[in-house]
Amino acid sequence: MPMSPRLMRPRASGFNPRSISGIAVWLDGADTSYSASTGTWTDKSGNGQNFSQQTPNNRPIVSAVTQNGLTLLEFDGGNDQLTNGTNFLQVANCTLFAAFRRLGGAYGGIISSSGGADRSPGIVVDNGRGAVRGFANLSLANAAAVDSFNITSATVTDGATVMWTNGTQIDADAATSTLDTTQTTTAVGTYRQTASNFLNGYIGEIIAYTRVLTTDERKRVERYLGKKWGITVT
Amino acid sequence: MRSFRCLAKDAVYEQVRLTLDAAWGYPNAETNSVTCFDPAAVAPRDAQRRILLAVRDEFVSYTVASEMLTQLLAGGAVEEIDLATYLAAVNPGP
Repeated sequence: MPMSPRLMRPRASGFNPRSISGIAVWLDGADTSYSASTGTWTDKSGNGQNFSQQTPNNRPIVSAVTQNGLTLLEFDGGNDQLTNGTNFLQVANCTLFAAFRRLGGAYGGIISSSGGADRSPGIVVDNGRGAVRGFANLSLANAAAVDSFNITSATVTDGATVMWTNGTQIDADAATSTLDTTQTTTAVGTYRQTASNFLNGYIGEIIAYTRVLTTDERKRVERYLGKKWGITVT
Repeated sequence: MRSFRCLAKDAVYEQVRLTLDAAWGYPNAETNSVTCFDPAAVAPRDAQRRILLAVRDEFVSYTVASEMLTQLLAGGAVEEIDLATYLAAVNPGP
């Protein structure tokens, strides 16, 4: 007796970040969307916001270390960075997510669109702790340790920045300045493009939306990342 | 990772870079590669404006790079520095 076609269907593939409107970029280290041989991390959002590095010595590698059985990009802290030739994160409202871990170094960028002025959105390592850059405000006071693999998320508006780690709100600060729109690129692996500060650590995934997600939407993305990367998200 | 300081003029550094590029066939459209490491114009420098370079261990395991590095170190054009010195120069903080 042939098997019912219904039973032969693939299991539901689960949540897809593209199902939430406003996605700007989706970089996934767990599949083949990063090529170390060409230095290109292909955006899965459908927007074509790929990040690349044309100098082999400055390319992250696909790490032998895994997280929850999934591959990671390893940034050496010395010169590794990937860049995108637009400033798509320099927007008045956005929501950022990153699954990453710091290995060392006091400073390093996960994703950042800032030049020297620290006035545009990004997720960074600042003074050894995870931080979110908003409009001239860094969530430093109660920023989270990021020496273990974690899911950091944030909403950034022209009024305030809010930061969560593994689903728990870490800090919320009022914006103290206006958006810097002078940068022309966005970087993965550097804290501030004009002053280097390279990430020494692993990045598993980065997702960004060019709007402030609702609480339910944010939690859906956090749960997706937590389940995928083996992190308990509250 | 191993890190180095260039004690020779920028032209020597550039000659090394271009020699390695030629050996590896860069620029190379297939690998999206333009050059093997940062050109002198954009390379990090120390307080005395000397070029600094850090490379992964595998980089200097390639024969052409290994042989060239041996010559440069012996000739005093390059010195190996500890990684902390290099990282302090390229990661200055805010």
